Amino acid sequence: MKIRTQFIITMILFGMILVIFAVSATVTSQRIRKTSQQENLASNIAQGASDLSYLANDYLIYRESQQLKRWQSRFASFSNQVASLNVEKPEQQVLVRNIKANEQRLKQVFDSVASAVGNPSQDRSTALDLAFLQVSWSRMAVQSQGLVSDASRLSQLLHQQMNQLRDTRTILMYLMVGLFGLFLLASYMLTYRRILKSMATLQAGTAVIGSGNLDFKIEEKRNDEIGDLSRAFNRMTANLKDVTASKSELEKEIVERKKAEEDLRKQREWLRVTLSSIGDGVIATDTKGQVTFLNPVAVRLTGWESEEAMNQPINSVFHIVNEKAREPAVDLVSQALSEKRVVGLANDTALVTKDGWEVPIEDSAAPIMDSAGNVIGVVLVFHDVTEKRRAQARLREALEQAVWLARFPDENPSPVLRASTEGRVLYCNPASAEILGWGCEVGKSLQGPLLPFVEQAMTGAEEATQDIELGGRCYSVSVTPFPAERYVNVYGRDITERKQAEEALRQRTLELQQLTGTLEHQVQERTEDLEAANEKLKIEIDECARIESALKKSESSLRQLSMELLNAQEKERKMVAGEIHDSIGSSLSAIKFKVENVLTEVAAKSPETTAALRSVIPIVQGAIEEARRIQMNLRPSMLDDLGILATVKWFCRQFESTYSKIRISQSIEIEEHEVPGSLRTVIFRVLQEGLNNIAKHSMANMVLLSLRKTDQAIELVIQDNGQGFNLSRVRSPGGATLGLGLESMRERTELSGGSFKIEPIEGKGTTIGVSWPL
Amino acid sequence: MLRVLIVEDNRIFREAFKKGLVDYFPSMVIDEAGNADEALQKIEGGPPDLIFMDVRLPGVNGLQLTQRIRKDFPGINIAILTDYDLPEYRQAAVQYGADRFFVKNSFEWDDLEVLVQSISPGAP
Repeated sequence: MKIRTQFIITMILFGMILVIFAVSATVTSQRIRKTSQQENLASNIAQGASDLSYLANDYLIYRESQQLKRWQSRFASFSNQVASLNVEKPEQQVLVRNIKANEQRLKQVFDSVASAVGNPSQDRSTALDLAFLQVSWSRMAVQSQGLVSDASRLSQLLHQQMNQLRDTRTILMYLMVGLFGLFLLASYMLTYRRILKSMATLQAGTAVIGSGNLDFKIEEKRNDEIGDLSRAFNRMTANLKDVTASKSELEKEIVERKKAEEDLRKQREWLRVTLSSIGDGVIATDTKGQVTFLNPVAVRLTGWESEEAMNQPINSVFHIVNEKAREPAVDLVSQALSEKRVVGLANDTALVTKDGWEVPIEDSAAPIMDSAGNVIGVVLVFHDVTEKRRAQARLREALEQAVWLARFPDENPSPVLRASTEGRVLYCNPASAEILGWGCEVGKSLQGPLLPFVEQAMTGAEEATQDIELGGRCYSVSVTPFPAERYVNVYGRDITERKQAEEALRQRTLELQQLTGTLEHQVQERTEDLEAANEKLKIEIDECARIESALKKSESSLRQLSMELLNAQEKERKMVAGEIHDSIGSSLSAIKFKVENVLTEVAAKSPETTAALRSVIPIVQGAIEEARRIQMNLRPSMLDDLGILATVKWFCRQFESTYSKIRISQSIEIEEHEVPGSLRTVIFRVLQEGLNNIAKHSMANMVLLSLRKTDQAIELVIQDNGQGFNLSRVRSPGGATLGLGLESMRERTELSGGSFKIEPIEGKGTTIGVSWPL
Repeated sequence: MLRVLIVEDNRIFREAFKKGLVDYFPSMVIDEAGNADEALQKIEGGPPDLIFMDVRLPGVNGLQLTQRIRKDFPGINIAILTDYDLPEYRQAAVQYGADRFFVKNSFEWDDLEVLVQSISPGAP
């Protein structure tokens, strides 16, 4: 049975007994109190009886109503007291009935006395009356006596009963004290003897287990809480034993974990060293784009020290621009953060270092993600591509060179080809189509006479040359084998013409040999003839030399003559012009003045004469103009009066007004005094001739005229946009007019020490360039 | 009394022109020179008020002579006489310092009168 149950049962048992005793004691006390009341009542009744006896005597003696009322009042209380008597025991009940009976009789006696005393009859004698009184008094005395006696007796009985009850109560109190002692004793037995002993056993057992002996089993025969505890202990011990068994595994795990941590630390260190040793610049940022890491290459490229770059915005540390557009480049970090993917850099990106230098780079930005896939930053990887660009440029140049060189064999007019040792064409230039026979096609095998020759060269492993006839033409083909590379280079040269020439030569030689025989005997006589002819020839050569010398002399004199002719012509013109001016011109002017003078004199006198004279004036004027025109055409006096520049200007103006479809653009870059006087006429005549030619033959509408002085020469250029001409045709009879003009210009120029050049382009125009060295 | 010098190498024209001047301006004192040396000699002898100067002269021409006279005698009025009514000649006349420009065969005597009246005699 469980200790708890035992304890509850003990408590209930003792509690019930205690309640019973307590109730009994209480009931006893109540009975004691009631008995005491009844005892007092009985005493009062005895007293009341005595009082009633006294009051009745009093009334009887004095017979006054006052005494009557007192008795009646006292009797009423006495009667109440009697009525209140309530006893239990039979003996006491008998006494109570007696008391009640005596009371009733007393009442009756007194009432009879009182009525007798109250209504005294006439006939009644005093004597009688006295007797009556005596009898009544005696009756009442008996009754009172009886009441007192019964009441006393009752009081005595009740007192005895009360004492008995008190004894009972005392006994009950003792019993309760004893019972409490018994309870304490029982509790002690239960707690100390039973529980503590078991506890001690348990404690001893735990001490054994605690010392490490996990195989010890605590006794568990009891079926109470301690038994449960013992069993729990045993279970615990068993579990502990299991746990202890896994402890070694735990320790092993701890060792492994420590090793893993060490590996992780080593890996981190390795990673840091790797990033620091990597050839590329590496910059890591957090998600706000602030720098968290720079490796040494990044430090070198950006110019930012690692410490000062920390927590700086990435755009100030890694400042990139587009080299060509000269604009800030795309923000890679933001892009990588927002798109959560690797972002490559655009071409032509340059990094602007802290000092403002620009370094061309290539880079990419990748988001850094944790194991949950959250972006925790960005890593930028970039490298300097200056060298790469240079290398690319060199490569490009080399490629261009290679392409350029590759054209070289294609442009070769002679056949060049390369064939494998098996006779398959690896390369052939366009010219080799002819010797291949089937066009120029790579991959096909060589055919015809070329193949055995190539094979022969290959087996011989040395260069071989051979003449091969192909498609009616003859080629000198040389084959250079490259056995290590397993191919041959074939170089061909068309020698058909040479062959033909050789053949012809051979034929000739043959003929010659045939002829030699006939010749030999002819030689003799021929030699003689030749000698004679030789002599004759010598004479002729001498004659030729003499003629040549004479011709040279004549040419020189012709040249001299030509110059003189030109000078004479010019001189003549000048003279004729002067004559016209001085004689005809002046005479006409004089006539005009004369007529005008006469006119003023005769104006008033003779109107007819005036009219006639007036009509003469325009005629004279016309003659003067004509004379002047002739004179100017012969040789413009302006050339002498004002110089070449004014004359050029005048002549061009006149030319433009004559040939209204032709415009002249003049470019004069020389001062008048810089033109030697001897050249004035030549320049004018060349210009005159040139422009007249243009007007007559060129169909041009634009002439560019340039007269300028350079450091070494005076240059005159006349250029037109006309139809041009063929210089060779000019020399033919059809182009005589033009030819004569050109020759005249050339002659004038050359005679004045200048050089004359004409560049006609058919359909485009003509340029005449004249230059006089200073 | 206006003193005039005609510098002209052609005798026929010189005399015809002189005759014309005399007829138009009877009070005019007219002298003549056939070339530059003669002209300079006459001017140094007594500067005229007005010179009619032909362009074409033997040796130093009229324009060069004008330039020289202009330098030594800035007060003398010089009118260029020429056959050619061409801008090149007018421009040259101005350039060499002449005051007037007359075309020999087409000037109006009235224009000459305006010129003569504008010159006060004995100014230099």
